[in-house]
Amino acid sequence: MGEKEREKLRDSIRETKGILHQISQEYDQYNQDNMDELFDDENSDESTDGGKDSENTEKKSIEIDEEDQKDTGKSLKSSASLSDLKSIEMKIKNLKNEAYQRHIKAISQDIHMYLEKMLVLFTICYEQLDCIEGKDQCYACLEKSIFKPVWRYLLGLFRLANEPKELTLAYVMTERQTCLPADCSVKLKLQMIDCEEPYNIAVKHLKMFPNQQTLLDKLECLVKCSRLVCQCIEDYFKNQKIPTIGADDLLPILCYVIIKAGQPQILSECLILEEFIHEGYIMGEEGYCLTSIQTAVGYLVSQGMAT
Amino acid sequence: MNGNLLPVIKVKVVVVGDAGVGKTSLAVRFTDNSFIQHYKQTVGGNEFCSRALDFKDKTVVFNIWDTAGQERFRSLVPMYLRDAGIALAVYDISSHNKQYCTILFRNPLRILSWLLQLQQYGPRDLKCALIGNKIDLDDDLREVPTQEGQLLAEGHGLYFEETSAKSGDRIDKVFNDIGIALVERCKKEKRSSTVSICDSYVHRKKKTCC
Repeated sequence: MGEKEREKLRDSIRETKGILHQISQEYDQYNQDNMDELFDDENSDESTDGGKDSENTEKKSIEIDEEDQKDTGKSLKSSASLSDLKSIEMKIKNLKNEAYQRHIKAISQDIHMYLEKMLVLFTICYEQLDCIEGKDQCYACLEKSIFKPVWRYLLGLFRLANEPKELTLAYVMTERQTCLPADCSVKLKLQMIDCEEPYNIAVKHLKMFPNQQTLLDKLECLVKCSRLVCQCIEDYFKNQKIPTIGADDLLPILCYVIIKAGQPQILSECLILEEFIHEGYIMGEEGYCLTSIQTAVGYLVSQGMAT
Repeated sequence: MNGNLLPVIKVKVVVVGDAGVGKTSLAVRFTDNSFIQHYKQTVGGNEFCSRALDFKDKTVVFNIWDTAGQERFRSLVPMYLRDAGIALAVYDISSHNKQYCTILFRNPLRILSWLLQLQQYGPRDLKCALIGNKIDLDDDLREVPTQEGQLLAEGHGLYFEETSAKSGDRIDKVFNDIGIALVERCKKEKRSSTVSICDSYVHRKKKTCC
């Protein structure tokens, strides 16, 4: 019961915050636009009262930048009846999301630009680097020093933007922590029923994924993980004919491995990899492994959403 | 061989189709056959296939991306299509594999839905080919006549071939034909491999997939 009450309270607090926020936005809007035709007593009272309280709320939601507030101000009517609350909440959520996406886009562009600039500088200093292999080398060297200082913030931003998905993934992972390959619809032949912990080495390796320092190391980790899955199968079928592993078989196993590894942030990290890993890698095996993992993660999230 | 001296075109080949039609076998058959020149990247795993073929004045490296055909992964297939140059839509010409045959849809209809998905989510310049697999099976097991596949391919302006991944029949022909077409296209557009990489980069910027 206590849990339920608390949850109710939390919900109502959130709703109040929503109202306050909206009122403050309207107040701001009113001040900015000086729209006389909206002036009537009831409205102005409400706005001034809310205006004071809302300062706190506004501080809390700094993620929403000014531009968004203007947007809501325009689109929202001043009467905040209870039925509107849900839609207002949704709107705020959407705006927040849009803001995150905008930030991600802008920041990603910045990083890409700096990377490009550094590459050009390298090639100016040393002309021989101006070839595909040379650029690859440069990139590998630059990557560590560029991403290390910003990594924390970059990951934070991506995680915030993908919070609902990560939560769903975490939920699915927790719920199925004790599952067997069979629960992930792995082919009977590859379930390794008589194994105590099937695909254990792959799971262990994937668990280390967030600890890897550089993007390339992370990518390497994913590749290694896929290979370890294959190696598990090879070891299992040591004295028999080793079955060919295609994507049909690999994806369910990867789902299982991801669940067991229990690292929901893999979702955001993969997105960062996708954004910043050099094109040359994306075409080859590395890109294939990344896409496979992302597909498996996407599948798990969609499963979680459905329930 | 003078293979290393030729300019290289790398192309991503995505293989789609229902589970059990032989996508993986097709990819593995192509990369394991030492035909003209052969190299395999993977050491530990065998899920990623890659092979280079030499043509008149270019070497084409086919990076083959196998996809999962199960219905539940279906909506996630577009992720694989990013920057793909070629898509092979594979179907099973037989009714041999009962397990994967749905009662409602006959194979040609199933393959149609794959083709539509490729058109909808694939890059604009994606070249699709229709492949009917398992011609090694007896004629009385054949469910889809050759003409039917041919008609479907013509209707969509696709390359069409029937193959057998099991015996290796006509697999190399498919990739040879595709490679020749690719080299021709590159000649027409006067693109070197570096430019095509840049192009795909620009393309990605414009159209990021989910």
